[in-house]
Amino acid sequence: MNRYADKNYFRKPEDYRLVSNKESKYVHIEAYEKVTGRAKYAGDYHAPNMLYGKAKYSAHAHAKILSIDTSKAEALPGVKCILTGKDFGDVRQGGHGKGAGFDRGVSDGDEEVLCKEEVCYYGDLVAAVCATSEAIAKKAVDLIEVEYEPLPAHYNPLDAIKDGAALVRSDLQSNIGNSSFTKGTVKGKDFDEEFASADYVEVGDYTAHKTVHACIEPHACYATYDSIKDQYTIIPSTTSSWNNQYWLSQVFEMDESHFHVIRPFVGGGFGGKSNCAPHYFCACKMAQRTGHPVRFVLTREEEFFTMHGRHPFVMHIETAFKKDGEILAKKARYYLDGGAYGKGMVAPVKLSALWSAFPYKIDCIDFETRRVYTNKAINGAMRGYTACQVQFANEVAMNRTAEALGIDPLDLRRKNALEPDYKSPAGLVVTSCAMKETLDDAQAYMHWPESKNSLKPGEGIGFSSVAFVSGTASPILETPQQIQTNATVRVDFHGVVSVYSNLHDNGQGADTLSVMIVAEELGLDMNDVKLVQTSTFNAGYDSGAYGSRVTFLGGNAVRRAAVETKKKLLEVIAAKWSADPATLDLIDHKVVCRDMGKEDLEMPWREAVFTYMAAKGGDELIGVGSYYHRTNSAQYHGKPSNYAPSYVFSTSACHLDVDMETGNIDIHDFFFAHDCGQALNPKAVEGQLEGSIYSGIGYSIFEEIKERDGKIINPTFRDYRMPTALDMPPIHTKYDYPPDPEGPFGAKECGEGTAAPIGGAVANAITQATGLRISSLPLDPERIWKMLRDQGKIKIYD
Amino acid sequence: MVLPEFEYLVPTTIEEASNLLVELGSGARVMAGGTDTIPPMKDGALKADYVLSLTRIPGLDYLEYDEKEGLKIGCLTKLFDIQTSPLVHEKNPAVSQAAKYVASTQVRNRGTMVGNICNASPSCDTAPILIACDATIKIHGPEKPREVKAVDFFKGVKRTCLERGEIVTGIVIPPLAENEHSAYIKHSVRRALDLAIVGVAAWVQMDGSVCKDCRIALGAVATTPIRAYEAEKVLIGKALTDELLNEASIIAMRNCHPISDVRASAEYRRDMIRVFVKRSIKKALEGYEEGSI
Repeated sequence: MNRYADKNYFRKPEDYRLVSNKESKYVHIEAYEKVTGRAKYAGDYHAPNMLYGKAKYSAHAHAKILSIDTSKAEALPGVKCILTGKDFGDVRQGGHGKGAGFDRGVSDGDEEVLCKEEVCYYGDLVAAVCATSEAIAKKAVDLIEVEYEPLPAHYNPLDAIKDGAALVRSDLQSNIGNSSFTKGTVKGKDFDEEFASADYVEVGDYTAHKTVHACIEPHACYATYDSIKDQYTIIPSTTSSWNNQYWLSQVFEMDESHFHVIRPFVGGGFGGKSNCAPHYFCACKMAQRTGHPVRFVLTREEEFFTMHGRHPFVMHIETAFKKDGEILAKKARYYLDGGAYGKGMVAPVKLSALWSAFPYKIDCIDFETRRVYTNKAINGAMRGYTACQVQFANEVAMNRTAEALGIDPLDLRRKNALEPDYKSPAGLVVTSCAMKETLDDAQAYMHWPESKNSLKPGEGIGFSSVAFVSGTASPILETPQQIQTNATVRVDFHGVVSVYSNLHDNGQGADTLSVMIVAEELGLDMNDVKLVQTSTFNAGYDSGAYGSRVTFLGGNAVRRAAVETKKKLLEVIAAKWSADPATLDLIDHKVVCRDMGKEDLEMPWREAVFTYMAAKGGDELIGVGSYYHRTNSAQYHGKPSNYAPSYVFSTSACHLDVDMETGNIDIHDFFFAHDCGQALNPKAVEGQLEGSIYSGIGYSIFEEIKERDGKIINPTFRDYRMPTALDMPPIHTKYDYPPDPEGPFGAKECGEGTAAPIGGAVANAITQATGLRISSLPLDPERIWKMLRDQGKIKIYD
Repeated sequence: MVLPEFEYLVPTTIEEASNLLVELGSGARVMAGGTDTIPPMKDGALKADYVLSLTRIPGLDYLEYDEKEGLKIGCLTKLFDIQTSPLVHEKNPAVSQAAKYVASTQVRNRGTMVGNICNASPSCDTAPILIACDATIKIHGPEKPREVKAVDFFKGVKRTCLERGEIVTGIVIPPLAENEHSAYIKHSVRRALDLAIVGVAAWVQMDGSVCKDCRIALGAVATTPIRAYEAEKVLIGKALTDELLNEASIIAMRNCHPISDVRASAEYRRDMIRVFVKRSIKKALEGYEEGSI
């Protein structure tokens, strides 16, 4: 057991003042800086002698590099340093790292910082330049001459897996990504027997397309080098400083003490900034070579073609049902278009399989997931990682089944819904679960099924339910006790509290969360608690903002640091008062006593801290905390295995009209019920839910990466259409569900998995409205028009 | 990206501007709001050694109505002003609607209608309504001023009828009589900040339920905005029944030959012409409710 997790000192729910307080007036702690433009992002760092970096990219989807001639670029006045592949060693980077993940001990880096002999997609870097101005750097990049010999390329994963297909990269053994989780069966019962005894088998083929994160802030970094200390300081736009530090240390073949990674404000992540971009390595190398600070800021176009996006999927699903709607068994085949590199191969493979079982009780599953390499832009983590694709197909299949069996779609979901304390044959351990309540709430909101009878032609209501992880069990890098986050709370003798937490705030409110939790536990106001801008040198480890882990895992670590601080203080004061420390508490800037007969005793916070330090010979009051799901750890290792310390459940409902001539969709109401346990910060939860619906609607209807021969042909916000405010429907959310026993103050995930049920709800509403059979995303007007035409719903004139 | 170096010229009379253009030749670019000049220069899609701003020339920012001539719009009049003008709402609301369809509020606060047509994009939002309403484009030239009909102004993708040294100074849209109606509908995926998949404008002159005259203009289906003459012929002289509108719409569709691009396929664009020709005529007859733009 964790010595710090002394739950006797946790703030009792009846004493919460900040947590879950819907009346509270506080805003995100960085809101003022952001609104006034004072917040410094990586691209805002600047020095008078700073150099501007630019990268040179591949001119082919796949080619051998014959020669690189930098002489003309070098001759350009203002050019200070040009790097090519020969300036780096042989260590490849790009994945999660060699760590404690699911494929333990296997290094998953497969990208060269700058390609030496071969380019494998248009976004591969072949050289980088830094110069005294951005314009000169750009000009120099154009002056670099690269001679290529084009090689055969694959743009379709189903072609790339054919026997004898040419390899996407010469260092691969196969175009199918290697992971120990590609294939598996979960058998609670006999699989074939279950299928044989089924009353109905729902068979469907589905596809889902590629989108990108499109963060307002592009990737950027500012790097300096101190030659006396042989130390690199880098301020990158990232959601995982420690992943950056890890790969820098690997590629430069120097230990971690040489890489000081400072966390700036980050303007959006959505899964797109967990890795160390190749440009960041170049910036460090150039800073060392030139002695100048070097900054890279990617353009929007670069952001599209050289950074990863969301995997396109091809899916085949067969589900066996009993007449009454009970799911007996399921077979799922997934093909993921991975692009040229792995980007942490195991996660999408493992997660796809996980979602195939969610959010229903399924005892028999046979799954196979192939993440296939192609000579295209890379795909990796993105908000609702693989769930947006898989759960779209699942939820369309559920509605088809409901229709075939004559069962109400909500009743079918309710019949199979996961329940609290359910342990699946797949190894998943469900704890808190309000899945059925979210179904009830969506049903009540839409007045279903009565409302079905009053729908006009072209009008429809659709539902979709999903489950998602609340954190992951893996800390990515090998850590002591598999801890995922370290946090420290420090109090000086004036009573000023500082929090050192490396939770990565990419806009989701992690910094506010840290401050709020500490203030809550110590009985202080949020303004009394100061958040330190952290780095890999001044605060403890945190794996990063991904996998819906920040609130659940990080929040728990920060809480434990605050509670240890509280416990140490109360023990000293209790000794002075000859009271039982467990009867003391910190309320409203005071130590108070609830021991019988000593209720009058109290001491102001500042005096208490002073007293503590005097009693400890002047030592500061410091509390440390860490978090890892301390449970039967066998549940996370081995097969089958659990994935997350807790799970969340949601049901969404979409009410829309379809223009039967143009295919345009008008969503007039969107309801979202999300079981995130007890909302820690209600305003932030609402913001996250609304943001998820925005991103889910963008994914389902508006956004699509279009590629031709491996090249992205719409790398602009003009042609990559993200919805505008005018395209957003009115949204109603509900999130008051029972607290989770393990989550910090009962909270669970909110804001990632919540993007996953949108596609299914939109598709099912369109089917209700039009009778269309839908098998693919996106559902933009032209595609709906084509379906209306091809399925004989409208007349087309020649 | 970085804005390349160029010389910025600010003439104070239209004659000076015109002379400068003659003198500087093809390396010079005229700019009003700059929204179709500065961004493409940053992207390297447009090269100009000289950018000539009209903003300091007095008398070019106007929005007036003359009972005889109609709506007069100056070359420095912002799209946002046209969109929000009570005068335009009253006299020809479809013109306000067309202005509002352009890009975003921020762009409309700088960009002008004249700039929008001079950019001559095939999907230009304000061109179809000007063609349908038979607007006149006023041009100042080095020799003498001249006027052309909107339908004759466009010559190709990003090409107009303007000769060296010529500058558009304004647009005149004839007044709508009691029995004349107009509308413009843009079909796009997003409700703002999007390019038209198709755009259709209609102008009809009615005699009871019979169409005495009409003009239909189509955007984004050819290298320039075009008139749907054949479809117009079907309607003129007949009562505008649903059957007749369908017939005319199909003819408009058959006579246009759009391309497929990253935004839509040719087959979808064709069918949308059919849909929006009839919708735009219906919209013209139905009129714009107050506050709907």
